[in-house]
Amino acid sequence: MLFTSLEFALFFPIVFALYWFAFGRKYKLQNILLLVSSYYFYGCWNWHFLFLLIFSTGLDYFTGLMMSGVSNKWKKKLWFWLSVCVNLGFLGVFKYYNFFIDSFVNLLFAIGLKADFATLQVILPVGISFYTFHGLSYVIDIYNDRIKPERSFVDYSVFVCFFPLLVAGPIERATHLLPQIIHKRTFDYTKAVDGLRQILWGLFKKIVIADNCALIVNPIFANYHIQSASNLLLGAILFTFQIYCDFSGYSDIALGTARLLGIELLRNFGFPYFSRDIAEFWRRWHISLTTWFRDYLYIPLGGSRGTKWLSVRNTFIIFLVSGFWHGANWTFIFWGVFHAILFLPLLIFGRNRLHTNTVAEGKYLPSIKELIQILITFALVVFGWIFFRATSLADAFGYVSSLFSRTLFTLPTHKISTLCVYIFILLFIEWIQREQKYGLSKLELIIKFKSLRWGIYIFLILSIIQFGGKPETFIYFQF
Amino acid sequence: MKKFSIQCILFISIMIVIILFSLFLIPNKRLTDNSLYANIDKHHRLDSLPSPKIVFVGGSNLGFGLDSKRVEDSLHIPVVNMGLHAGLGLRFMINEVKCSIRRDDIVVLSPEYDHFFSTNLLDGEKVLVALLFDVNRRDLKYITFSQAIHLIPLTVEYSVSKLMHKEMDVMDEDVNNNFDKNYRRNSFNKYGDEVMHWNYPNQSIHQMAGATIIENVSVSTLELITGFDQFLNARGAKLVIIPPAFMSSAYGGYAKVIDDIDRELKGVKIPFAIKPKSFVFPDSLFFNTVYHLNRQGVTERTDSIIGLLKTKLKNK
Repeated sequence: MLFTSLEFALFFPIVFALYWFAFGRKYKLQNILLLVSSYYFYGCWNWHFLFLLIFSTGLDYFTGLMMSGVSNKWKKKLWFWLSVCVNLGFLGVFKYYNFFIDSFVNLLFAIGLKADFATLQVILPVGISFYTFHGLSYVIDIYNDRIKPERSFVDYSVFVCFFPLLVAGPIERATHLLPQIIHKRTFDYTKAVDGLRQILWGLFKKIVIADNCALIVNPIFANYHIQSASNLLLGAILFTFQIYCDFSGYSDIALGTARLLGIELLRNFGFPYFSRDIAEFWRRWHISLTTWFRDYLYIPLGGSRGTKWLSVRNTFIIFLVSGFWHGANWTFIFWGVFHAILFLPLLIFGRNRLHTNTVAEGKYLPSIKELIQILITFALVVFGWIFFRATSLADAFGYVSSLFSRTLFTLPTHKISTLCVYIFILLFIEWIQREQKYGLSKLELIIKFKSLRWGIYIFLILSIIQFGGKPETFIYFQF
Repeated sequence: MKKFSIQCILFISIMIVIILFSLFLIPNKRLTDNSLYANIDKHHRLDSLPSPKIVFVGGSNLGFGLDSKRVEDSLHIPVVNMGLHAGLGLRFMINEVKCSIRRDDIVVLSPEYDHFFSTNLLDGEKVLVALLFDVNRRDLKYITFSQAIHLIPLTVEYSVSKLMHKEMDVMDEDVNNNFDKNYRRNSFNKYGDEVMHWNYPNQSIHQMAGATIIENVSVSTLELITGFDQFLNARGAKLVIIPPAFMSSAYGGYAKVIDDIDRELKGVKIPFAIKPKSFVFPDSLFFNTVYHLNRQGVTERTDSIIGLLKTKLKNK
């Protein structure tokens, strides 16, 4: 069930009405409703994988209880590693097994040996990377005595399976989400309106921009060898908008949906394409994953506490793992390494925290210097996305080499005038709102007239309906 | 919560008013004189013909694939060709002729192969909404309840596309290509055949997506056809199913799909009256899609149909 589908448009109002009207007095009943709805939501994709989800949830829940119940340090460690290994084991089998086998066979072939290992014919369970990381964060936090284990299986399951974040994040922390789940929620009009606005903005980004970009991007990447360089450049730029609007659109819908249910999720995007360098980009892109890696991998590895070279090593590992997390393909690993190469000079020269504020804070327009910085960062990000989008490294390099040819200075053959207007609307609104949490956040502060605000909502809804005929899946569902 | 509910209801009401306003009060200028208006003319002829008559039912494969005058002159039975657009959906095509069928009529059903797979093509695409709200609102009576449910999102989408001046994708291929003269109301003759294109040279072929069909033959389509057959039998009329004309070079990609349809129709005891392969014609006989014949193709197919109907009439 996609957030952009009619099924969800029917499903969510029913859940919302039951949640507040029928079960509003007792949060325990609300949690049961959330769990049942979440299982139904997940089961709509493939109900077989519900068992995997329930098993994974049960394992982490049980591990949490066992770790807190033992005084022996070694036993605690044993339970901890059992949970980590099983969680990562599932991820490894479903997501990476075939990749490692294929890579190993190719390596043997390269040195003149022939090998034939069986690969698995399995579908990747949707959202496995996300809910595995939810569970891991919980187990790690208990192991490190940051939190106490949750005694109620229902409440813990809602933390892992809460349907707005189940299939593509944001990757939540037990310290942030669990306290909200185990306390009574009260309906707040302002927050509910804000939630609806964020859903609207997410739908606009996904349906109007991302899905329309996909219509142009997909054939360009599929047939890059017969495209002019200007078309390839267009394809790369449009994919840059597609992936942003697709993923941040999903996150906006997830955050808005959760807010309507009285739950605040972690922010996942902070207008990343207005970043002035790659370090800032990574503070603004997929924030929940970046901070997850920071807290559960980078810091345990030593973080930046040791020598400069130790922090360089740790940072490189984080980028490598981040690339690999996205999928079992060398293209993602290359993408991670590419960003590491861009980031590490900033770290080495101590310039990685140069831009922690919002660009052009308190001003309408950026300075020339800021504009150039934004454009350069954007161009580098666009270049990286080519590797992310390509189906293989050979295709990615083929794409890049075809990009730098004389046809770069011809006009692209695709008609994108309407799409350009919508991308302009996106950039304009997000620029105006760059100090807020999302595009339409606190709109009442900028536009005082309610009728005008409603006019904007109606325009956005009409645009969504106009382009919403065939819902496309979200890119990040494959991760 | 009360304030929130009131605001939501108010906002949804405004949206509904806007959509209804656009649907009923804004004319779709892009449809002026469009081929969909031929539906009105076809209905006039259908209602005015005495029985026994021959009624051809199908999509554009019939509109572009039949010389009804030739059939009428050969068999001495009045003919009407209702074929217009596959996107109207097989259910609508069947329902719109039902009340005009009398004893001894012959209904020749020629669905496109895609009608056997896609729900949209069974219950209608956006083009049906355009027909129902901007061309001939009297056709609304042919819509079933389940079909209406299916059409609601398409109706909203269509209504908004009128409001936002978005070119209707369903009509784009009809209106915006170089051969728009072939897709006008006046390009049909009095029998309901599309004849304007008979004077044009062949165009580049617009390939259909059917070759990628991986579904099973739709049970709903088979049920619709068997139900129609029973209805006709009860009225003392006869159903003849014929395959659409199909382009030879595209046949390979569709062969399995067509075999599946052929087998399923035999399974429900309403087989094609002629082998699908008999209506596979050389590429040179096609005008602009794998279903649309040119003049010469129309003549060849019509002769086959005349031969077939003569046999049927003799057996009767």
